[in-house]
Amino acid sequence: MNGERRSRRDALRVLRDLGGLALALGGASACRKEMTAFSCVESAGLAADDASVRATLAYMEPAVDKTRVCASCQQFIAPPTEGSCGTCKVLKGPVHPNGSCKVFTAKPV
Amino acid sequence: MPGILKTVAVGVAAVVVLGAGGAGAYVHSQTAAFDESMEKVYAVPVPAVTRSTDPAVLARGKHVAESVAACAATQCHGADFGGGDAIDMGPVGLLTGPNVSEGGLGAAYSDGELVRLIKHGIKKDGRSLRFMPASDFCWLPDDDALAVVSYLRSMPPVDRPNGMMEVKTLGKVLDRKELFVMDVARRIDHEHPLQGMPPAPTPEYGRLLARLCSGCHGEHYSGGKIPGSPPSVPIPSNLTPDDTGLKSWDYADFARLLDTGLRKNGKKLDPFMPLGAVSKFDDVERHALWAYLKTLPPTPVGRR
Repeated sequence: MNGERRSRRDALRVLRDLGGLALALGGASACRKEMTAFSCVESAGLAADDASVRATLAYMEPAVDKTRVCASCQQFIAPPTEGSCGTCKVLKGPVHPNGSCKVFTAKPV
Repeated sequence: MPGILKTVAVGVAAVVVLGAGGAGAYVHSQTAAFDESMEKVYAVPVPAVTRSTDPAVLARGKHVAESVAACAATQCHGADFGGGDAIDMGPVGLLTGPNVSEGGLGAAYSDGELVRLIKHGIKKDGRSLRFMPASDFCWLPDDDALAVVSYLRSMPPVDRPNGMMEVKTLGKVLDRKELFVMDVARRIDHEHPLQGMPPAPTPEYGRLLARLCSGCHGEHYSGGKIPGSPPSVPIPSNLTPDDTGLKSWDYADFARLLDTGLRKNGKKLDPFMPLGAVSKFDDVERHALWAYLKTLPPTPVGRR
């Protein structure tokens, strides 16, 4: 009887430990996601005129209106690998897929 | 099923399948050619220009933008340049002139890039415009092109989002078949850009002005259905001196049409016709356009 209770206790402990491990792994994964987030707002190195155009056209990231993000815009040139900055046919400098600006033109669906 | 009927049925099915496959391959080759052409980067240098604030230049720019180039028409970029009304051409495309004011794409372009765009149909990135009929007014003298840019720059910025701009499959195929202009820069001779003459009430000047009409009325100006257009798009009239066209018209009839939108028979023009732009043609431009239309060979309606 005692042995049976102990084994049930042991099983519960294993489950608890597994749960903790899962939470820890989930947390680590979330942290990793956070660590791989990137920004494309940096416009250092651009000519003054080009930087001024970015400001005039109110380039921002992330977009306030999630239906009008750069990734859904005809002017956007996607990066070769996911998780990095793309470029734009209108604005000079790096452009985030989730960014936006005033000259958004929706891609056909 | 008797043997002969079965053979016929199989034969018909084979023809249908082969025909559909061939049509699909043809459409694919045409759309691929269109897409490839639109990716071409034109090596046309950006001209060094200096915009003007001279009231006379701005007035000329306003006139050209509102009339012979029609940039400020509601179907193009709108009177405030903040973007035009959408033109729904059904399977051909959904075409909306973007916001080109300083609150929109205009802010991203230098003055020289805008002059190049007007004269060559080339965007900032060196690729062709879509649909904007620069090939119809690329003849504008450099001074007029710069006057338009100077006027545009004198206008306040407009904060309005761009509408949809989509060239659909049929639009791409028609462009490659030379039945509809979508790929604009392909139609322009970049090596030898046209330089129009000073305005004069002559057929030669009218021939240049008339190019703007050709997109709808056809290269021979005989009207008829625009290829691929849906029923919502009206059928353009025959502008040649044919029985089915303007044979019985005189200049007064033509001028009244431009002023009021009323045909000789008293019927009103469809609002699809950019009356806002043509009504602003001045006397010299009206006489020039009329003089040219009278020189056209009479052509039955619909020969485009």
